[in-house]
This record gives sequence, C-alpha cells and structure tokens, in this order.
Amino acid sequence: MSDSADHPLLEVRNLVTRFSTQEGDLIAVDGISFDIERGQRFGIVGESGSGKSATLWSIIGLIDPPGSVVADRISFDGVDMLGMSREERRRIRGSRIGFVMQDPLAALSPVFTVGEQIAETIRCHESVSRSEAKRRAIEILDSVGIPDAAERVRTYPHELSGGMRQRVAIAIALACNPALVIADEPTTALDVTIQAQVLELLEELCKERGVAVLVVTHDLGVIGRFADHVAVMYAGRIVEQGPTEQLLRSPRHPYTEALLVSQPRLDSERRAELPAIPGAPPNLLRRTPGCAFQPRCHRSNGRERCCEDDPVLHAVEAEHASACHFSDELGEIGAASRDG
Amino acid sequence: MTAEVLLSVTNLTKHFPGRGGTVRAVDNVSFSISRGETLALVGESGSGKSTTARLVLRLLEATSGAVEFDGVDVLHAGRAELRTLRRQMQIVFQDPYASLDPVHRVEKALMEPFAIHGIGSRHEQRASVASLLERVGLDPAMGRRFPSEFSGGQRQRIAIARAIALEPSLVVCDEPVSALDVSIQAQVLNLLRRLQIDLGLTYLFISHDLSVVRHIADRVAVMYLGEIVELADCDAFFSNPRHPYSLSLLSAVPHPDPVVERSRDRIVLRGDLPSPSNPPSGCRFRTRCWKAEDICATQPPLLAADARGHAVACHFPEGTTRASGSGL
Ligand SMILES: Nc1ncnc2c1ncn2[C@@H]1O[C@H](COP(=O)(O)OP(=O)(O)O)[C@@H](O)[C@H]1O
Ligand SMILES: Nc1ncnc2c1ncn2[C@@H]1O[C@H](COP(=O)(O)OP(=O)(O)O)[C@@H](O)[C@H]1O
Ligand code: SF4
Ligand SMILES: [Mg+2]
Ligand SMILES: [Mg+2]
Repeated sequence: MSDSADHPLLEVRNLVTRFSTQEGDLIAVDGISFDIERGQRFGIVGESGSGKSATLWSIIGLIDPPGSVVADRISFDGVDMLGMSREERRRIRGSRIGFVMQDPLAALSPVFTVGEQIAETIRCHESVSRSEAKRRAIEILDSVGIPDAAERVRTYPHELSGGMRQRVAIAIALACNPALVIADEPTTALDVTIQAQVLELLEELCKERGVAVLVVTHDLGVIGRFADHVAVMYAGRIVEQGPTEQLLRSPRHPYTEALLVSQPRLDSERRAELPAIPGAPPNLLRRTPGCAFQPRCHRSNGRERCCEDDPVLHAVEAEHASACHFSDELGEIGAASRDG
Repeated sequence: MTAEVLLSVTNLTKHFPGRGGTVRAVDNVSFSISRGETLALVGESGSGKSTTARLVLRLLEATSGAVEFDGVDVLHAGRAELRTLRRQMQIVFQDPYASLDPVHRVEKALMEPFAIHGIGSRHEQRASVASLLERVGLDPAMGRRFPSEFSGGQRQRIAIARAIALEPSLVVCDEPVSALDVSIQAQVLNLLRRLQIDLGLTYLFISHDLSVVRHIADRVAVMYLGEIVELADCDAFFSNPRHPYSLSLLSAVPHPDPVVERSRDRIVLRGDLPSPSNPPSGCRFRTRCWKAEDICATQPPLLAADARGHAVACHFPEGTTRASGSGL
C-alpha cells in the first residue's frame, strides 16, 4: 500500500446514503465527513435512527439497492474505495477492515464450529495451509481471552455465552491482521460486567496491535471509557466532533450538552427532576428547513436563524467542530452537573 | 418514623424444571417495601429479577415462600381476592412495542381495565381515558390513534397510563426505560417520579442500570443467580457498597467523563454468569470473586444486616466507609 505518513487510514468526505421507501426518499446519512488515523479509537454516538449503522455499511460497501451511496471520497489507506468492484471491496473487508456487529449470533454461522469460521476467514484472504489456519485460529481465540482455546475451536456459536460469542466475532474480525476494526454497538446486547470485559479487550487490541477501532454506540459512557475522538450524530448528520475529553467536558452543541445533563450518572447530584430533552427525533422523510434539533433545543429560544438556516459544521477550536449557529454560547458543563 | 409496610416477601423461591436440571431462578428471596417507597431490584440478565416480579404479582406460581400485600396472603388468595389484588398491583414492562395490541386504538386499550372491573359507563370510561392520557403527558385526542402511530417513548407513556388506570398502590416497573432511546429515558423517569408523588405510588423498580437506580430508588436490592446479595438504603449502597459483586457492577458502569474514567479503580470480573441450574456451592458469586477463600466454597453466606440495616451476604464484605459519596 501507499506511504502511510501522508494520509489518514480512513477518509470519508461528504457521504450521503439514501433509501427509497414507499413513503418517499429517506436520507439516512446526510453529507458527513471524518478521518480516522492509524491506531485511533474513534467513536460515533447517536440515538437509534441517527444513521450510525448506515454510515458503517456505506463505508464497507454493504448498502444494497434500493439504497444508494454517494460521496466525494471514501478511501482506505489512501486507496479509493468508491471506484472499487464488489470483489475488490469484499477482499478489503475481512482482511484489512474487520467488522463486528451488535448481535454476534447473526454474524456467525450456526453450522460451522468457531475454529472453522476463523480458519475459513484466514484462508479466504491468505494462502495458508489448513493446519496453519487452524493453528492461527487457536492463537487468535487465545488472544481475545477465550479460555481453553484449543478446546473451544470445536464448539458451535450457540454453545457459547453472549460475551464469548462477541469475543469470537472480534477474533474473526482480527483473523487477517486488519488495520481497522469497525464495531457496530458491540456491547449493547451485553451485561455491564461483560461489556467491561469486551471494552478492555478492544482497548488492548489497539494498544498491542496498533489497530484503529471505529466504535458506534448510543452510550456516552462507552465513548468516555473507550474513544479518544468522537463524532455525535443527529438525524443523519454529524452535529459535533472532536477529542473526547474536550467534547464531553465542554460540549459546543446543544444536543450533546442536553444528552450529557439529561442522563443520571453515578456521581451526579440527585435531583427530583432530570433536565429531559423534550419531544423525539425528527422524521427523516420530512426534513424541514433550519436546524434539525431546533424543535427540541433548549438554546434556540425560537431564534429565526435556527428555524431558517441550515447550520454547518464549523471549527470552534482546533480539531473541535460544532454545527450550531450559537456554538459560542456554550461552554464547560457546570461543575455542579458534572461533579455533583 | 415507622413506615407502613405495603409488600412483604419472605423466602420466595421459584424453581423451573429444565433439561439441564432444575433452574433455580429465585431462591429464598426476602424483602419488604413501605408504602410510597421505591425499592430497586438490580442485577445482570438471568439473575431472577423478572421472575421475582411475576411471583409477587402472582402471574407465576411460586415453588415456596410467602408474599403479603397490604395484609393479604397473595400466594393463597382465592379468585375474588386475586381480582381485588390485581387492581392494586400493576406492572409496566420493558418493551412498549409488545405490550400494546396493534389492532386496537389506544383508547380501547386504556378502557379495558375499567371494562374488566365493570367501572363506570362507557361515557365515564372515555372521560377517564382522556384524563389518563393527559396525566402521562399525551394529548387526549391521541386516544383515537393506533399503537403503530406512536414512538417508543409515547408507547411507554401509554403502558404507564394503563397501569395507573385503576389507581393501584403498587406498580412493578420491569426495566421500563431500558428499551428507550437515551434522549427519551429522562422524560419517562420524570413521569414515573411525578406520578409517584401525585398518586402516592409504591414502586418495585427493576433495572440493570445503576445510574438510573441511583436516581430513582429509596432502597436497593442486588440479585445474583437468584439470590439477594445486598440490600440497603440507596445512599448507603452507593457510598458504601459492601458486596464484591456490587463493587464490580458499579465499577463496570462506564462514565462519560474520560478524566473520571482514567482515575477510577476498575474491577473487571473474569468469566460469565454460571448456569442457574448448577450454581456454585457455598457463595454463588465465588467463581468470579477476587476475595474468595476456602470457606466461600463450603458455607453459603447469609444475608445479614448491620446496625443501620445495611444487609450483605458475603464472608468478606467491604466494611470501611469511604469519604467520597459517589460510588465511583
Ligand atoms: N434498508 C433500509 N431501508 C429503508 N430505510 C432504512 C434502511 N436502513 C436504515 N434505514 C433508515 O435509515 C435511518 C438510519 O438508520 P440506521 O443507520 O440504522 O440508524 P442507527 O444505526 O443510528 O440506529 C433510519 O431512519 C432507518 O429507518
Ligand atoms: N418459564 C421459564 N422456564 C424456565 N426457566 C426460566 C423461565 N423463566 C425464567 N427462567 C430462567 O430463570 C432465570 C431468571 O430469569 P429472569 O427472572 O427472567 O431474570 P432477569 O429478569 O433478572 O433477567 C434465568 O436463568 C431464566 O432463563
Ligand atoms: S442552531 Fe439553533 S436550534 Fe440548532 S442547536 Fe444551535 S441553537 Fe439549537
Ligand atoms: Mg444501528
Ligand atoms: Mg428481566
């Protein structure tokens, strides 16, 4: 591949993903752009329907008609992915980009053993012998913390617990030493103690193998725990983006701010009434002019600009961007709401 | 202040026959809830929370134990008594999509409780439904619509409206916000809290989310593999958790502030929840516990309360009161 110094590992420019539905054209992803650097832990956070999965599927080329994907650029390691044939993309997916889904049972085949599935992934992308593939399968299972890996290669997915299955899914994603692992809500279906195990595993992989990880989640806690860079999605757009610590401590978009203060936390002040976000996310089939968050926004106060002009993502600080007309009115979340 | 006990559960047990042996879903669980109070039942999936709720409401027959509600022996109540009990004890489930019949207008779903108990004329029932919808923050005109026209948050409001229709004293909330989007959860939690104050409700609040529990509960009971391992006042529990499992649960909750995250002592439990049909001997938590010693494999620890009523079932509970009140 090309020289790794001069371009990001993944580059996404102006990605638009549409689905034509019976009720009309639905713009699930509406012109988003972001970069992921080598070894970075990048998080995308947003509530359901905000376009997180559509973004991931668009990147790896899994959106089928009547869905359509257009972008100015989607490149991986400097290579344009948009112009690729299906076969070329398939080859990158699974070898250089690993994919982990929310429900590992849906991703794994019920009729092959765990070992067969990992070995198959390896042999699909590399010419190695059967016994070498099997040896590597055991090694990978062991590295993702599966006890008795030499025994477990012979088990079927349904014989494993949810947490173990997710480890197997991660093992398959890692089988060919990818540079990027994309994980769509990898811990949402898991209990919190198992979630902690899986996050720790992903963290180790980044540290030890230098793999970049793109994690999608609806949980700001997972972002704070795992990501070093985050993009907040709302109604198909990135409304705020930046280094995690800065963004979560000093959000510059009202949606991020509202999400942070509306959720009870283990260390927040216990108050009778949570500052809830009113209403519900907009219907993507009927976009209205102005800011998509306006009807729910506590900062807009019905100001004309919010209702008429589409706010664009603009830099508010180095590496930190917000798509709010009044981003300079926001600052650090009050010590009271953060530190209780 | 001696609060009046509304619900008292003693040695409640439910064993399900299973292929891999008897599933000991709920084992010797005891707790009580005072009128107007919220007791939270927390624990990972499979720990027996929902089964406990169904036993209390007698939606499921217990293997053994006792449930007393407002002086009535629930497990031995006859049909007539049960009918009265059903008005006073209600439940809100996790999935607002499954709890409403898609073919009926919301109005009909909300009139049903009145119809079943023969309360009021149709006209009066309609009026009650309108005021119920208003109470849960929905436009009364929305009663004419079908469930599919509502969002998840709105459906949960409807489920809550149905639960409070007959002015119950106890409402069991089984993961009522777990299926909702993060931006909607706070709305529903606020609603539950307001209703509790306005209607004097008592809640048995089931959740796996400790942040939510800390916000809503007066007391907390932690379940592990069918047993209660810790039971305490909310403040005492979060400032001074005593069972190793409680500590690990608290430690596993990720925090959105990376600075807090980096500074925390993190306890990551090894392994999975053992099978409830073959629980470990002695202390059921011992296979995942970093404090376990020989005695833990042989002697089941009993749930024992200290002078302030903070109960824990562990041979080596945490004892020292920590300075910080955050539980982090
Ligand atoms: N195959 C599809 N056909 C039609 N609409 C779709 C399809 N996939 C996703 N959508 C719509 O696109 C929007 C974004 O969906 P998604 O990316 O799955 O959101 P998220 O992952 O953030 O929950 C939603 O409104 C969803 O209903
Ligand atoms: N009807 C049933 N038959 C057999 N086992 C059951 C049944 N209902 C629940 N269980 C088992 O009982 C245990 C406790 O389940 P449950 O009360 O649903 O836990 P929780 O609500 O804490 O997730 C689980 O192991 C579950 O599989
Ligand atoms: S542009 Fe206006 S409506 Fe949108 S987030 Fe900013 S203040 Fe709120
Ligand atoms: Mg998704
Ligand atoms: Mg349950």
